[in-house]
Amino acid sequence: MIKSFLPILLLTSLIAQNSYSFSFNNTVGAAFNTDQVIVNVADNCSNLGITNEDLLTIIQEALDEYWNTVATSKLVLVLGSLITLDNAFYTEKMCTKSGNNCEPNINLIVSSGITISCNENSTDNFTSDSILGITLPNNITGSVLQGSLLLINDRVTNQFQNKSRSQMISIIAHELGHAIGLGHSPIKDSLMYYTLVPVRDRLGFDDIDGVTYLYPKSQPFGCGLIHYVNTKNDEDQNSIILLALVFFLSLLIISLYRKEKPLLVHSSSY
Amino acid sequence: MNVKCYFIILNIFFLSSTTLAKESGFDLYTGIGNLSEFPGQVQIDNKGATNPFFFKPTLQIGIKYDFWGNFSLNPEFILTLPEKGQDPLISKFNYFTLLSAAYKYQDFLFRFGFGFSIQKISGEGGTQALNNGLSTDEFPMPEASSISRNLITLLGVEYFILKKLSVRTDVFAYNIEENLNRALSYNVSLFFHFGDLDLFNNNTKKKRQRKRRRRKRKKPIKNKDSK
Ligand SMILES: [Zn+2]
Repeated sequence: MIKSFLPILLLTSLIAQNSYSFSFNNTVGAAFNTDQVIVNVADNCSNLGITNEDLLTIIQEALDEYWNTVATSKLVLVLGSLITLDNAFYTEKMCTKSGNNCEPNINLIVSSGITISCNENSTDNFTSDSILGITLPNNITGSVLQGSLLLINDRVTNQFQNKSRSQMISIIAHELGHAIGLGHSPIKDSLMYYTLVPVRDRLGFDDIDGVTYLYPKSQPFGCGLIHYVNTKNDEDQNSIILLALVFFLSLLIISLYRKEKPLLVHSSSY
Repeated sequence: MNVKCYFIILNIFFLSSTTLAKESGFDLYTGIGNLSEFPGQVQIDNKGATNPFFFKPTLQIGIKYDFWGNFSLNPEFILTLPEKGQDPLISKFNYFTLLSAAYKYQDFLFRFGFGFSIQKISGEGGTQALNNGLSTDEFPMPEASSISRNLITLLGVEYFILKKLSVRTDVFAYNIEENLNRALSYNVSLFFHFGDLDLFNNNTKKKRQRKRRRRKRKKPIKNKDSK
């Protein structure tokens, strides 16, 4: 069931801000319920000034330098592959507006994971060249995020193409933050601050809190130990449980052994 | 290296130590410290700066449990004071349960162990008005609590300034077997050592001594009867 959403999220110029922390990008605080989320990339970009292969590399760096670095989060974003999408993803608007809310365009629903596509719609999506990208979790069931769509401004005059490589990486990373369920942060340290900052190399504490809140790590029995290969999961978890049991058993043996020890020591002096 | 390998090493270590144990003794200690979380790994301004030190006071309590020569076992509990996130509407609270093995060398104690870092993040709900592109929108805030639990590896060194006073630095390694999300925190603390408290030793001794006396008293009577 697709719910109505808050207005789409944009990345533009500096405006005065209030002092708040991380927020959500949807009304129900939805998050993906899998630890690994695949990020697929459409092969429809033509005005970004980079090749599809460059774009893939930039996205990989956005994953590995930002969201996949959080020690306390179980979320792992995995770069998928180049895909060919319907032309609607390149031309149509992200959402049909109803009042202040946004009703996702049913032609652009992402069935699972995150899809990154270029888009040239200037009447609704990119009304200004300074808008670099827009993101909407457009497939939510209850509080579970099923799919998110990230659109990059591909108008001929887009400003994305003029950005440095590190800025492109942080722009994509910011939009990916929206795609996993985070809203904006008005704190300048944060990647989820609503606009670009002079130098952006890492996540800030507010980003870390946000992704940890939505995707908390639960080691050793939870998903924290799960690596990229799904088939290993059961085996890994079972062996960890077994080893933990042996560990606590050995502690029990120690404590029982020690309980008797003072008796022996003092019997000699008695 | 996978986490389960650490469990194996730890198990072998503890199981073998039970057979080698020769001495016993307790030391209850408590301390205050400061935890620097992920120094150098988090951006702290809009110019890309990072910080090697963060302020996060901790309270600590632990037991040093001698089990073989200069080796001891140290179960510990560390608590951070409840704090706000960068947003006063977000609350954060951390605690650590740790178990380490320590080796005493002169006035130094070197430790290696494992534990859990548990973090609770809570929000008060509601929405907040934030800039969003060319306009301002209401963004929902977290309205529940979320708890994350990390298995951590601990490495530390402690120096005894006085018999009952020591300083210690511990490094906590998160996801040590991973490449991307491996992280380090360090905790600097000052401890007061209460030593071998009655609570842990003498009461138990007295009980056992009483039992032993009772047994000794019974034995001669039995012998007389049998004769
Ligand atoms: Zn944004």
